[in-house]
Amino acid sequence: MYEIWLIINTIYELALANLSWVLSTLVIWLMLMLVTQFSKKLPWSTGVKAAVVVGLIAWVIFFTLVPSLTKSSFEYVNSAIDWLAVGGVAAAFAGLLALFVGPLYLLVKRP
Amino acid sequence: MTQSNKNKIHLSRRDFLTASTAITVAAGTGISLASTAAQAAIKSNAHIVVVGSGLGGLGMINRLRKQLDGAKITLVDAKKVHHYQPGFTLVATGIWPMDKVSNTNQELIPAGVDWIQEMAGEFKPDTNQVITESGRVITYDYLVVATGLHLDYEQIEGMDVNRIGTNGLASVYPSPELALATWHVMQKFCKSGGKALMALPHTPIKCAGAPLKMTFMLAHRLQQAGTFAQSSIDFHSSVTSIFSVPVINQEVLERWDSIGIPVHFQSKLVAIDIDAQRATFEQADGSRILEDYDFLHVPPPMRAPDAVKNSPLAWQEGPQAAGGWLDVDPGTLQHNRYKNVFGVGDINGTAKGKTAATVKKSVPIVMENLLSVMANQEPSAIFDGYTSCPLLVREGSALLVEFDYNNNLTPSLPFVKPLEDSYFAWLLKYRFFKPSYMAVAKGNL
Repeated sequence: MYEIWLIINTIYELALANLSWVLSTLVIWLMLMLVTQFSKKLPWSTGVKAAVVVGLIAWVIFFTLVPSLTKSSFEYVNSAIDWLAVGGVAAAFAGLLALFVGPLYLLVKRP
Repeated sequence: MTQSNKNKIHLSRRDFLTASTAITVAAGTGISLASTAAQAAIKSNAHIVVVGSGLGGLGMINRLRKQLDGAKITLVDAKKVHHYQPGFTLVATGIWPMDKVSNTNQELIPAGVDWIQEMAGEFKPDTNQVITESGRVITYDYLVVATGLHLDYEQIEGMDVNRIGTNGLASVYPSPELALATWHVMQKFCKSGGKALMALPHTPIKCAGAPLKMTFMLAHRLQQAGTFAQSSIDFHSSVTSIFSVPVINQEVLERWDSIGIPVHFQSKLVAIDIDAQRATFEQADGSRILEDYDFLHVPPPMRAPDAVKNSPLAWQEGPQAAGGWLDVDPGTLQHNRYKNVFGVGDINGTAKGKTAATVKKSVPIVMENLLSVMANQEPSAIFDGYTSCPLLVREGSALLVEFDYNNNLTPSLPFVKPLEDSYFAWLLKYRFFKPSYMAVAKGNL
């Protein structure tokens, strides 16, 4: 329970420290979703598939980049928890990217 | 009148407050986060004064504000800027920019707290009074001392804090600006290499890992610059160890031995000639040796601020008395003689050095015990001395060292091995500890 509360608080404070980025991203994403909603529709599943594919590719790319983006190196990634940390951070960025890919794909592919 | 009699009188006075303070045992033991978050405010008309707006003081006032309804809460501190001190080593070693370690106190002090923007000048616990430097008298029912400590550079002859960042003189402790100045002088030194001296004072210090981190990082920066081979780093410890936890002490000594960093024990930095770049170390037998240097890192001796040191609140005898540290019970963190007084953070005269993690763990305990005392109960929450130190061993890797009063290693996560280099520990220090620190300051963790 404590660990969950700790993680929630940490993420909240991290978001608060980067509020302008968080809000900008959120606004752009909401606008994208609205535009997608009111344009000629393709099935959402089409966008989801594209998001999953791009998300997976992005995860692999981010995975290779995360240590250097955090001023470290794969040389220092040793234990299982280290690898999980790299994978987790990569998943967070890839997931964020995938959230945009879905609606963007629908917009690009609309008839 | 004996001290205990005096305390009885103070407590009797507080009985009146207690009568109108609807504190239940269940509420008083609300230490878990879930209950803290969900807890209804407890009615009280007590006046609680918190002295100091570091992490401990801020954490306390935010918790008090959330958990007490009707209590008068006063914060005493002149500082307007709050520094994230755990980030100073990151600034001083070129990992973080300076602006990442400062916030305004205003944004961390909750509404409804009376903030007296002065330093405490005197404590009069016999009359339950704090007197500010301007002479303002503040009377309290309960007091939380969270003043932090005094960096006693004056003990080192010839030391001039204003010259940190010049002539190879470095010190990570005083301020973000001087942490940055330390980085600049480290960069300059690493370009050409030379002779580095690293010191450790004889007193208890805050963030006892900082001098070790600075040493590891200096070696790493020299290696990155390609000047390690033509350089030397000597570590001078004023005492017989470099870290109070034996297993960590041994681990670091072995690592330094493997990269050629000798350690000189009972070698105390007592004087510096900044212009000549020469340091004087006093040995165990009283003799003195002079060492020229190109880079010198000076962690200052530390002690309680004068207001505490010169007050009845300080230890009157024993090993903590010389530094004037706050005389608290190491478990409950309640003052040993003045039962309406508690201590948080660096000021506490307890056995282990403190870090932000110590404060994170101890603030809820002080809160719980304070509520118990307000309800006329004995404090029952016990602090085990938990301290954590993400010990940077190079850029990109750290040891996550956690321990208690008894030198037991107490890893929070069972899969983190404290003696193994870890990217995860680095990532926590680099990106995630400051957000959790802010949550502690806001009384949420």
